[in-house]
Amino acid sequence: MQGPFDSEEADRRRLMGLGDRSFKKSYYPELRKRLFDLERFRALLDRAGEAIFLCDLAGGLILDANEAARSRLGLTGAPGTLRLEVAVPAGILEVIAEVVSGQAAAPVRRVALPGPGGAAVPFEVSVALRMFGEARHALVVARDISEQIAAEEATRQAWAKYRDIYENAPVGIYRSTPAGRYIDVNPRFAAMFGYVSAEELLASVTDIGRQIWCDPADREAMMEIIEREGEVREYEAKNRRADGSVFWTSRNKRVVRGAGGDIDCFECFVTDVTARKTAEEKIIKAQKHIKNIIDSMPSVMIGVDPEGRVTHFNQAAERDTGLSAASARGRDIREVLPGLAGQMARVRAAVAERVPMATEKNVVSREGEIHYQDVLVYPLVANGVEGAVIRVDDVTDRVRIEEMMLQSEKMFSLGGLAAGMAHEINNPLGGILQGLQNVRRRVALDLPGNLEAAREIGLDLAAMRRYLERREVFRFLDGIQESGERAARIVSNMLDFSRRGEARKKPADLVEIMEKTIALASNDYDLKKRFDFRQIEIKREFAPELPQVACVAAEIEQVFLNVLKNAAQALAERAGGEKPRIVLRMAKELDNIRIEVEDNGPGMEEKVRKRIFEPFFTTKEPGVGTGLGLSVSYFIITQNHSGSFTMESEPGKGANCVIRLPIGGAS
Amino acid sequence: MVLVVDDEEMVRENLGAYLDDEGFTVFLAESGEAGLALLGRQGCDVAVVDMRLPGINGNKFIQEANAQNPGLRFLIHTGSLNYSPPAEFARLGLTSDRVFIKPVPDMSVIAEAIRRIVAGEEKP
Repeated sequence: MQGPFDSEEADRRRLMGLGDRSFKKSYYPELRKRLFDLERFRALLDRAGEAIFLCDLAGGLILDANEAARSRLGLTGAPGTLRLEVAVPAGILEVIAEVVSGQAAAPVRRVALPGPGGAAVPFEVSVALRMFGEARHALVVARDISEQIAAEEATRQAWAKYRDIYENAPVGIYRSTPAGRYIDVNPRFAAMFGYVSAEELLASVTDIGRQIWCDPADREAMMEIIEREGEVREYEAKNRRADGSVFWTSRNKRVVRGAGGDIDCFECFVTDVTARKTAEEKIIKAQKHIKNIIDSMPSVMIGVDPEGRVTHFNQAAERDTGLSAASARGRDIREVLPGLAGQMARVRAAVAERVPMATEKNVVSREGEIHYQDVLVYPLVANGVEGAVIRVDDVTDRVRIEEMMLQSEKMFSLGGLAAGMAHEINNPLGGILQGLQNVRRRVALDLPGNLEAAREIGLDLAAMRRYLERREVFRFLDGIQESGERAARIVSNMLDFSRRGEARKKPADLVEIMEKTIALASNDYDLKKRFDFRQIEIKREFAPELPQVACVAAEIEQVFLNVLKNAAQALAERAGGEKPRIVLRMAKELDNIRIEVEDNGPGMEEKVRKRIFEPFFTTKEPGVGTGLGLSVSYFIITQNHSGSFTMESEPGKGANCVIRLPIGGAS
Repeated sequence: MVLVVDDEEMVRENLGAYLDDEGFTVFLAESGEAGLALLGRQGCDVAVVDMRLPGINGNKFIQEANAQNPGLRFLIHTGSLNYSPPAEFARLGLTSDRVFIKPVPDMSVIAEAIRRIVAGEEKP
């Protein structure tokens, strides 16, 4: 390197730091040190990648050039010999000229310089003007920036690529500040929310919680997850578009932390899941609807797999079994519905052969009561689904009603028959009884016609009477009369069936009637002969404050008496066991009073129970009863009072007479 | 004078005999038609009428007999428990207290009823 000094010698001295005085002394070690420093400095400059050279502007000479300047710019001549205009490339000269003229504001300029192969090489040139003494010098630094430009280009391209993804991504992307402002959003995000551009969205949305979210609480909940977990995946919520319309989104959002670990911003990907959500909602709604349909059915519906394990369980099934659907699921159907145990072979056959199977009026005992069930098993027919549905309907009420209707129909025809028969029998009975009256009168001693006829034929009427007495003829006549009158009574009772209640109904207290009847039964002579009513424990279970019932008290009394007699007679038939007991119950049931007379007697077979109301049907030995008591009672209750009368009984379990009387009387 | 209309022979004969013993003049008819024919020849005060009859029934007989003989009064003697006289018979004094349901073991009640009618007729 060459120093730009006016006087070479003086410059050298100064450069070496030698004064006039020290020069004369021993200067070598110091000189050597200075030369060594210079050498080091030169080596340092030579190693620099930038081309650096110094030129004297007045002389137009290059005073010094480093290695890079020599090799890259070709400034290879001896120092002080190279002329600026000749050696330095035109691009750099222009920069120097601009700087010298004061035109160029920027100290650094980019110029293209001819390269080795003739191709232009980009350089960055800076020119600094320096005054050394009185002379103006230019320190020029030129750096080859081709690599830097290439790197910049690569970066720019990479950035453009990512930008492209960002701009055209089919998902909404945004970054937001911890304070809750959008930093930037991509066009898809803006479009998703109904804004023309990202810029419009950024300008319009000032309150994310209210403008973007339907419910700000959803956003707060999401932010809580992010704070806790650092990210949130597939967070689904309802959002709002610019026009106010609502749609569903799913977010993947994460925290971006700065070097210090503080939250820098949030990055979030948003997709519109409205279509999926709507479909899901439709499916859920459809499922709910179907479940509702099945649950609303009064029938027990149970789905089973081919092994007979429960897959579905509706509400009626829950009510019926007392099991929850959750606890029933997966269990064997026989455990869940023990009443079905006997049907398993048929259930399996129905599933295997894919044919429905139905059984009607299955008898199941539940809490000591007989219930009837209709069971329908039908295999599932959808492809790929194996199993069956079991439908169980409790038809107890229907079976009972059918039974009652049958009973009532039977009784009605029997009633008609009885009425017809009664009429036919009354005529001959009239003949018998009236004939008897005539016979008695015409053997009497005080009838004028008798005396006259006797005198005409010379008969001693008094002697004839004595004869008739002696031969017990009057006793036989009494026998005819008694028999005839009894027949007349039976017929009259029979006619009670067909006689429509003409008597006026009046509100009456059933408990009072019952008490009166009990007193009557206790003193009933016929009853006392066979069974003392007073030995029976009478238990009263009467609901308090029962309303009065419009009825014919005398008829109801007759019914109660018949029922009590029937119970007492049943109790007389039993041998040993617990103390004979009749439980009387009265309670309000809807618009009726339900009256029960339950005995702990021997009970009866089903076939007896079904005929118990038929006239002349009796299980007692001849002479104990006419078999008309319950029939008449039945007609009084059902025909005259529009009530119902049923008998519940099983052998060994006593009998329960159930009477229902409408409170308002006959409709 | 009493007319007994009944198709049941034993009832007809017995009632006839009883009323005869009681001092009434009794005519017997086994049907409504026979009764009407008899009334054409013979005036009567009271007719004891069965309801179920071959040919015209008791009600019909009463209508026709009344047209023929407006002074005739009626008692009913029937086997049907449900019988109640039509309202139009009320003007003939034929109400439920003049209805007797068979069997009537003591015929004195019928005789009494006839007497009451006859007495009523006599005392205007």
